Amino acid sequence: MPGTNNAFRRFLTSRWFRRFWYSMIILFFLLFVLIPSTFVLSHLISGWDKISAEVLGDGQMISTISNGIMTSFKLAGAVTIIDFIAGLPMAWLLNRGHFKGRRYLDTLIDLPLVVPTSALGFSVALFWATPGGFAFFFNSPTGAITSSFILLMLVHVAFSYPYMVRTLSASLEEIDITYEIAGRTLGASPLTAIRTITLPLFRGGIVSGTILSFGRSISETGATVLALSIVGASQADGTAPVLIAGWRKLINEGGSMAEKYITASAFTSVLLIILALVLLTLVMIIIKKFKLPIKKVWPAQEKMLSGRIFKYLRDASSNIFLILAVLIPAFFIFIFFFRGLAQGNSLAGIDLAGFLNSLFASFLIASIVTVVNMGLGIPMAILIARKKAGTVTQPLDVLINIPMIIPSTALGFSLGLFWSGIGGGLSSLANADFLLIVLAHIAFTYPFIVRTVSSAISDIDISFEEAARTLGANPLQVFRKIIFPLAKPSIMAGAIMMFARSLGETGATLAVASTAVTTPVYIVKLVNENALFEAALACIILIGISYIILMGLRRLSSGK
Amino acid sequence: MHEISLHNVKKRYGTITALDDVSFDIEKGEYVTILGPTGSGKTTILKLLAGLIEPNEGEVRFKGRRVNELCPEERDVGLVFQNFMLFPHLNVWENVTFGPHMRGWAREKTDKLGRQMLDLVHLFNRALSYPNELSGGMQQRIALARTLTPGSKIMLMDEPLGALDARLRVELRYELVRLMKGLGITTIHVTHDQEEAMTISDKIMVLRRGKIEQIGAPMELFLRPRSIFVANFVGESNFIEGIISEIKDSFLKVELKDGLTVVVPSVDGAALGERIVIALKPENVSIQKGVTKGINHIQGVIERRSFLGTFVKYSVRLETGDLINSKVLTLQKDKTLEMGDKSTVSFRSNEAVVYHHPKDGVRRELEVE
Repeated sequence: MPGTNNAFRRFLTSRWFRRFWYSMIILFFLLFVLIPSTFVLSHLISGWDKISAEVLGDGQMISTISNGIMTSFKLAGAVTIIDFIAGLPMAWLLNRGHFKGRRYLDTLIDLPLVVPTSALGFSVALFWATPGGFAFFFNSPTGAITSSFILLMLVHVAFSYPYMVRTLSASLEEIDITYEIAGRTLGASPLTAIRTITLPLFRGGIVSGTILSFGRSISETGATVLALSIVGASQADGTAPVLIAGWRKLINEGGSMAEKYITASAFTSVLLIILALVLLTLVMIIIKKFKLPIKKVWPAQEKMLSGRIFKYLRDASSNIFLILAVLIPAFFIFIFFFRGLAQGNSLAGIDLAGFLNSLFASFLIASIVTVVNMGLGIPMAILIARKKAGTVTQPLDVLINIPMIIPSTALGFSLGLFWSGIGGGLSSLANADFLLIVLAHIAFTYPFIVRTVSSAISDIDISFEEAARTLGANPLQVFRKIIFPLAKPSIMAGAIMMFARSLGETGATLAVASTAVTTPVYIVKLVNENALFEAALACIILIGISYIILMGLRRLSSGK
Repeated sequence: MHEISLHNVKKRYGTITALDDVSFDIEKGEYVTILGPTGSGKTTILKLLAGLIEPNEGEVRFKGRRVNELCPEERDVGLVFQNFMLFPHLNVWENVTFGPHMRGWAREKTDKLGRQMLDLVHLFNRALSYPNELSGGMQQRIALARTLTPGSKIMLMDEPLGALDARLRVELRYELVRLMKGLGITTIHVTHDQEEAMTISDKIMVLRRGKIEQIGAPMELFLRPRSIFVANFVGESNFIEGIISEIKDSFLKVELKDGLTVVVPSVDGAALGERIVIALKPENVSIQKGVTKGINHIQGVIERRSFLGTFVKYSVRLETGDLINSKVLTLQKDKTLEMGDKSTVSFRSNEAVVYHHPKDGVRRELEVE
């Protein structure tokens, strides 16, 4: 018995097995995440004739695509800037502030993260663009916001703001406050100390906050579609992901134009991917190169601006922003629903079986995706954090982020092309749509777990592992007994993020399979049919269930 | 059969050579310290022995058996870290029984060992505490107990006392030796504190830039350092440069900078007219007020006087321009020597150690980085 055990152990720890194992992890990443996500780029070469004939030759198509893309990038840019300006003081308050109830504020920030984006977008749009919402206080017969662009901005800010604050405050937490104190004792006013000492140390956080916030905004489909529908704008005023989702529907209906729409979707996806990559690379370079602290110091003015009044003003305005621009709009749906209930609205329009099916599909997909990515993402996180892949580690670390930056609709479209293009395609399978949706969700949630867990593991002193090894633990035992317990909060946070992202995703789902009905898709359908009250109920149920599940996960992570 | 040996081991990290052709043997039950400045390769040796890294060339052997490819958990070697590395999510008991637990030993055996080791370090009453509730000294002792429970006969310690207060460091160092010797464990203890190394080791290995400068008993290293570096690192030394003007039996006549001559013991391969370096321990340099003449008497002016407790240290600027330190026992009469006083330093010929002049110069040879 000990003999076989030893032989087995030797096999598991042998160099050969280790190489094989690492290669498998990397292979999985390439085959299931990176290549499918970017496969559409190859279309640019193989399908160039079609693109030039069907898209570039069609003036109206070109203007539709360019409008969509322009809207997408303008929106994502504006949203990122607003998130940053409003998020920075909030991150500061959460980290450096001393006041009662800081923990509650912390939880409040996270709250919108558990709300699936389509439900959140629906709620936010109801608040700003219907007479019963914000306009209610002014007795206005129309909604407060009538411009579709401004409404989209408000919607996108509401769901991307928590990501920005979370990232900024996590990165701020790592900056030793002693530097700031040292600056203060050397005569800098608080504002000057922050501006010249902390902010320059803070660039990494700003880069990742920007990427996350920008990426979230440029990917979002469900919330955008719903908002456009509520404000009564045509889908053509929408963003590029909305265009692709719309074409997908037309493609599915078949007809003579189907081919043309496939080409148009591919071309738009390619443009989205390339532009997003280029833009974010530029942002990264600019933020890193940019001389953030202006060397000049204005002692008197900055001292004045550091004064108590300004501090209160700053804290108050960031709290007001959180409440007015994020929390109230995000949860307005409850008011909307209960007011409707009180007015005796009927729920006749809801098709209970269809809704329950969609719920089941959504949660099943989210669960499968979470479990699969935990199993495949954590080894990758270890590989990156411990630099086990040698010279490949660095490029891997960069490539991991790509699915996060690529708009999820483009990713979904690309992935659909990839899998249906392989050997006649998966489409011949019985549950092809379901499988494709799972694969697409795996691809775009993968970076969340790898990022979170790898940064947590690189914070764990490698000597803990070495200590365990010398005490007789084999690599698997080291993971179970040391790494997993120490990284558990981050692993759970990653799992929660993946689960929530999968649950809320509309664009990627529609792009791979337009007939599949997950709850976000179902809600979009209800809103399009103008069954707002029923949609509100569906949202509330979705929010309720995801809240319970996510709290359960969180409980798991805090328990021993 | 040697308990532990390294044979021509080389270890490179990228372009940096951490260990360059290192060989040594350690016998069973010996307490050996590895002494060297930061970056000299001390920790690399421990990691090689623990199996955390593999050498690029050469062999690691335990009891004559090659273990290069053996992974850490198969080597049965204990490793104690400078920052203790107690697992923060496990309590003292779980930390101490981690090793037996990983090996799947029976419950009774594990409990007995855990109890025994906690008793040994007098901390059984803290079995249910978590590491962050313990003082540094307690954490150190728990880390030690944790490493001892699997019953390894080889113990590696990486600056085990480095993170403790000065006084505690001195107290615990004797306890360490007592424990290891009592259990018959072969220990390798890495430190950069030469006093620590001198007081507790059977053997000291001085490491510099990935090479072994000298291995030997503490007294041997102190009295007969084989290189200028060792002479300076194991108890400080004064260095005076000169040129051999006469070779007579086992002594040399050496001409210093201003034409003054001194008589010192010879060195292998000494040649007439060769540049050499004389090393003198400050304890072996005596000092008197005023001008006295004689063999190995040199005049100078006291530049600094520092009171060290038992000793007073004088820094004297010689006529040759060299600065020389003299350490003398603190006695009543020393009050008569003050800064700026003209005085004479002297030493006995056989207490000087002579080295060939290093080709990169004395200063470069003494650099610790």
